[in-house]
Amino acid sequence: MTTKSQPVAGAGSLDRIGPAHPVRVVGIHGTGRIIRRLAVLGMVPGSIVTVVRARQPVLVSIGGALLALDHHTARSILVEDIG
Amino acid sequence: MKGRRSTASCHDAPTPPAADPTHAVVAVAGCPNSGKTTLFNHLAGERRLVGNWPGHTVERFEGRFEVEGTAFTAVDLPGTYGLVAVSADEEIAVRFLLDERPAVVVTVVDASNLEGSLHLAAQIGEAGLRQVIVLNMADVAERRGIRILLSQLAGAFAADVIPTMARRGTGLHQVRRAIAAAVGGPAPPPLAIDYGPILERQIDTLERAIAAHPGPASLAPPRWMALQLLAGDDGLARRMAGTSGGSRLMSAVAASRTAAAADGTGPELAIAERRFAWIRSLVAVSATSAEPRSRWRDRVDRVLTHRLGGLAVFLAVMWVVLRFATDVTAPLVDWIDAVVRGPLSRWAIGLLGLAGLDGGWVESLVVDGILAGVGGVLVFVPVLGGLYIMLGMLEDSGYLARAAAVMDRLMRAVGLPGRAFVPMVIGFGCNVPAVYATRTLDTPRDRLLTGLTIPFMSCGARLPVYVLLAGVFFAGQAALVVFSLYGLGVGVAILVALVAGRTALRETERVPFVMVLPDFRIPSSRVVWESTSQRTWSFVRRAGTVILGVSVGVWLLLAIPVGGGRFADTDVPDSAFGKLSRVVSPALRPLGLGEWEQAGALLSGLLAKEVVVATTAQLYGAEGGAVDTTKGAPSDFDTIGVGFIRAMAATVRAAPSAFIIGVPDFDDDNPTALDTAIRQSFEDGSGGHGALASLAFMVFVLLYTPCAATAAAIRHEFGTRIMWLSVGGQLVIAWVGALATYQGGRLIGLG
Repeated sequence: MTTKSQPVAGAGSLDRIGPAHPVRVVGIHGTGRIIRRLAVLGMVPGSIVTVVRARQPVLVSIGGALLALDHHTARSILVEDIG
Repeated sequence: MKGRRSTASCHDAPTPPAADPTHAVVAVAGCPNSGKTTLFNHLAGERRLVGNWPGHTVERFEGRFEVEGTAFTAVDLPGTYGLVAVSADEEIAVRFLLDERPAVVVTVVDASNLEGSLHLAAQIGEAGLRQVIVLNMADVAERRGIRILLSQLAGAFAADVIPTMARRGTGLHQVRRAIAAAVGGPAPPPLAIDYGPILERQIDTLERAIAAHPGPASLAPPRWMALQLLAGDDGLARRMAGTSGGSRLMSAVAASRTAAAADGTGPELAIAERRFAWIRSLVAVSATSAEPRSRWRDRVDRVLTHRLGGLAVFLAVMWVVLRFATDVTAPLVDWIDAVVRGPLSRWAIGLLGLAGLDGGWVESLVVDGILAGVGGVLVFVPVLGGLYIMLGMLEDSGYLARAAAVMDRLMRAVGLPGRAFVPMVIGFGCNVPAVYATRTLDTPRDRLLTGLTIPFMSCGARLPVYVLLAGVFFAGQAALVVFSLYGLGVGVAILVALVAGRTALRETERVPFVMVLPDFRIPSSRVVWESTSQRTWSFVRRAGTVILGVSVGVWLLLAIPVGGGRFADTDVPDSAFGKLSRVVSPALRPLGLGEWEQAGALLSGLLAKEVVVATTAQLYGAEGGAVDTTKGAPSDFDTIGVGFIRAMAATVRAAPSAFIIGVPDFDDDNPTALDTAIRQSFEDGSGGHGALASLAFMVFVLLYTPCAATAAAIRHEFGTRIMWLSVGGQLVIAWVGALATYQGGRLIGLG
């Protein structure tokens, strides 16, 4: 199943975010499998994440953990700037 | 503190033991890589191997321990981030927790990453299970400036919270006491998290439907079951659907899921969102935040996962691993060889002489059968030890997950998931645990496809064959030959994945690559020593059992005359073994392997790859003379004692050369009688293209059925049909590969 989040002003997918500045997750597009894999790791709306490496494999720090994602998965994560 | 001893090492297939009903069951659960197995080992006095890569434990495992006279059964579970499983190993952990409902769950939480790792603890609390929360890696948290208010966490979870450093064994006494107290104490009320008006309405509706459900009552709290069904726990849904009135319940679940998704966010994400919000607000009041990740850590990770840089690093790492195993350990190999062929054989003959058994078939059995066969394999213990030291360091450092992240793109291009890279590298040590490690993959298709490629990963047992033959035909270039063979194995695995992945096992669903990269750390000498000694010991043990048996069997077949002659006094070619090998031999002639000895060695190698070395040593030793009886040979003391010191010194001197390309500076020792016999046979069998034929032989050994144990593991995971398909396919591929090597080499004028 596909989950759609409401469009948020100033939001973009995680693969477009440059490294080293924190952003907030606002939604996840994608199959149930992608959502399950990401959600248990805390990649849910409201979490603050920082991109460490922007190209494949995308490295994201979240909480005290470092995640590696493929580009396709990174694209399914919607984030917004925190001002 | 007695435990079912298992090393879970090479060739020990994991089997789930039944829980002992008389003892309270304590499950050790936690996120992958949080230190569960280390904690379990301390609790139950076990020596299970641990690894700094997710998916090390893929099977539940039991041990026993006592606290103040009361016995408990401890169960080590595969890691999972939550109670809705995606992969097969997570399913094992989740089903055990939910179906067996252990008396106490020891939830291992990474103290340096509370936000990420409290999710499982929250779900276990919601499921109404009694738990003891262990804040592991408390030292790492402290180093990062995280201070944790234990009482806040304990209050929120209604559970004891204990900081530990499982790797150093601190805090474990308190863990034991907390377990005993929790078993005796009252069950805590299930943890209640507020999921907000939309979800709460659906949870309520489902809770009522579950309460009214006529099927068998469950021990789990109804609210928790409602939450789990809403979140899409397929396992639970399937089971509930099977009970009477199940279809009505399932349509209620479907309706609730639709209603909960009305605002655009699916229920699984919405539930996780609220749960993490609860965790974040708890962490905000109970812990100070960590200092930001250091810049150089980020920089190192960026290099290691760089598309080209990361690939170069991986190849360099594998080069060093193999170089260390093959070249650096060479002096020790020579030392054992000298001891077995010199003092050991002389002593054995001497002892037999005292018993009046010398000169007859008993001496032949001991010297030509056991000492030649088993000794021929034991000679390579340093090679295996070297390989296992390097792999142990690699596994404990946290590097493997990074290598998998780099390889994801390449792996995906051939139809394999990036995560499959971890089991494949594990296969370089031994194929058996690698086959089981495929359980960490997401879909049955990914598991099967990866399982089919694993046997082409060149395992430790194949290494002695390469070292033996490369030592004869490619002296000084052994590491390069071995490295190329490992590369060829990977290449064939890729081809197999490409073909199977494009035909019978087409990808039906894009599996996301999501992997937690564990912290880099300097490998612990204790962990590396444990894994090296256990794996090496397992190799030695098999030399004493399987190889011993096969060596005696081969000796018998060699001793039995076919068509005239006396027992144990037969010309080798006229023996039963010789005749049998001759039947197979014609099939190998196109590969440049026309001698029946080569056919015989490969035939016996179907059981295990070291057997190829044992049989080779036996067959050629019988012609070349296994015992070193040279006049003026050094005394036994010189051979054993002084020889060992010299060999160690040479090994230490050679260690730095593992990191460079080029020939290490060894004294060129004279070829032994065995070397000469092998060279002669390969030259004869190929009509003067010995080196090329030896390459074809090594390629065949690389590619054909690794061993009976791997075949059994494949049958266990994928069924009998797949096992035969796999074994048959490997034989065909090995034959074609060796043919291409030999005939191709001759075409372009090599050898």
